[in-house]
Amino acid sequence: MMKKFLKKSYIILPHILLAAVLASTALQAEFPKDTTGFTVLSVLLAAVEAALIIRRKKWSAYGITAIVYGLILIWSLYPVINGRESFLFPPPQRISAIFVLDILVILKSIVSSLWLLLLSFVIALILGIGLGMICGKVKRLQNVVMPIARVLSPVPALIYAPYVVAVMPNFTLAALFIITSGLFYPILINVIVTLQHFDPKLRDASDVMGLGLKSTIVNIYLPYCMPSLFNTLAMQISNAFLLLIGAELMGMDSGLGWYVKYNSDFSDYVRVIAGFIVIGMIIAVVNTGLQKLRAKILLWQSAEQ
Amino acid sequence: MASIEFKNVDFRYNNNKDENILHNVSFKIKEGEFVSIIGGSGCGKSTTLSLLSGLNHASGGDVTIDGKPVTGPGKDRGVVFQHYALFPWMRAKRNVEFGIKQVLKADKKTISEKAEKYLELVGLGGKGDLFPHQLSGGMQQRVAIARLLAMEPDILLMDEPFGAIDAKNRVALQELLLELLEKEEKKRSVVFVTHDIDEAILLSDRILFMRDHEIYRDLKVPFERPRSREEITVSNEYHEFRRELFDLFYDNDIHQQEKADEKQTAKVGRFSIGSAVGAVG
Repeated sequence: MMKKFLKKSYIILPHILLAAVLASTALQAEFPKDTTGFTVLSVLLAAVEAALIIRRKKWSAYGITAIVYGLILIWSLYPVINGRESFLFPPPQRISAIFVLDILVILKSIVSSLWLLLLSFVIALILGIGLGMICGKVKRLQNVVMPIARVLSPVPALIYAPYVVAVMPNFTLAALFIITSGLFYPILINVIVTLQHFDPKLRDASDVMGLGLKSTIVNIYLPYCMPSLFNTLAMQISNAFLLLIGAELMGMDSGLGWYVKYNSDFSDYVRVIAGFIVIGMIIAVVNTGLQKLRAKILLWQSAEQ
Repeated sequence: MASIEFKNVDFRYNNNKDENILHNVSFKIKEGEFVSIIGGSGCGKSTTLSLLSGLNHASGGDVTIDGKPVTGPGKDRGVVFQHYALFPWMRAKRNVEFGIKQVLKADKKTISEKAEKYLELVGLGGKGDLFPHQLSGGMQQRVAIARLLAMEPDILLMDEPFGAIDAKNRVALQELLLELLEKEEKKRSVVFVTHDIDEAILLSDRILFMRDHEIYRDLKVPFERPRSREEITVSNEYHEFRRELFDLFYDNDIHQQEKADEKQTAKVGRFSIGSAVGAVG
């Protein structure tokens, strides 16, 4: 009886919280000034609700949604608790409005940031994997490269930012260089270390086939390194965003980091928080994409590996 | 076209000049002959095979195939190891196709059909789309054999290929190999390392017994081909031959034990002299 009641409450809880959020924001909003904000917030909440309905079979979905709604509820009630609207924590309907008001700037920032990120990832992957594979085959080169990589890799790439900015012709190239070099060493070291522990059974199997260098790299080394490369990439994604935001803060004129920095210079915390939310969502999307890609490429791995 | 010759072959690892892994090994294998190498663990049977495959190089003496020295791995030889060395990122069929591609320049369709044919031959028709981890040990070894045969090498080198497989599947695979080799028009030379006496008798024309890093005995298997397990195992000859091999293993065990005891005594002897000198000093 009690168990059934708890189960029912768990399922109903998110919906009650949603109603509370809507009521709280609707009562506090100043119409018509907040009409856009309230509409956008409602649309966003509807999206969350839709996601819950799609995943209604999953037990955890209710808990996650309840926590999301709960946090928004506390946030929207903050002015009531505080006694007045806070300058540093503007209510949700104000921030939602930014997603419409600044839509073009935000989209441009997203494109700019993702482009920079993608480009540096591609360059770092090509250079890191390429050099790593050659080092895997040529021991002498490896003995030279590895100690240097071990010294340079722990130095945070942002440290040489001022120098890079002074040397590079523009900020975009400087940012590109910083992000790429931050990603390059972990990828390089990962590939070298993975190949150092190359499975002797597979080494024998490929050696007796008499494969050439190109075939060994493409058909054997590259797929062999994939699982650990994906682990490295998953770990480096947040590092990459850190470098990206940091690099954009240095003086670029577009991108998500720039958006946050620019608006905080004007103490426009409504936009600053909107920027935080966008950055969070982009990281989540990129991570999910990476996981999907991993599942697809690493289909050959057994569950326990 | 592949006869194999080992002439006074020595092998030792670079860092250990005193210990021979192979010592003065000499034998000949005729074209189309199936030869098993048996012996206790550490006697050098796998090393002999690795010299033939080109993964290792003799420290002394000559290893030749058709009179030409072996300098490295070659497309005339195909190897199957105990641990099914399939590439885990390739589906079963891709594994076979990849092998074929190394020796045959042909269009995709030809290679695909050939891979399909060999998978069917080892009883895995329709399983080509599975990844190695989705196959049992026995099935993985079937794929490895399919890949080996599809590459059509003159010489098959098999290093305890059924050693890690359960008894029931091992029997099935032995019979499969026997059948495949007898069915094929092209007679391939096979060097087969095993420690299973029955397996060696069933499959081979000759058996080389290794002891102390040398060839200790070279025995001809007294059965005609084609053979079947049912027929040969009921004969007296089979049991006598089996007994002979078994005795070789048994003697070898005693011999190894004696050697170990001698070593131990020598050590103890040195130790007591050493400590006596120490005590006097």
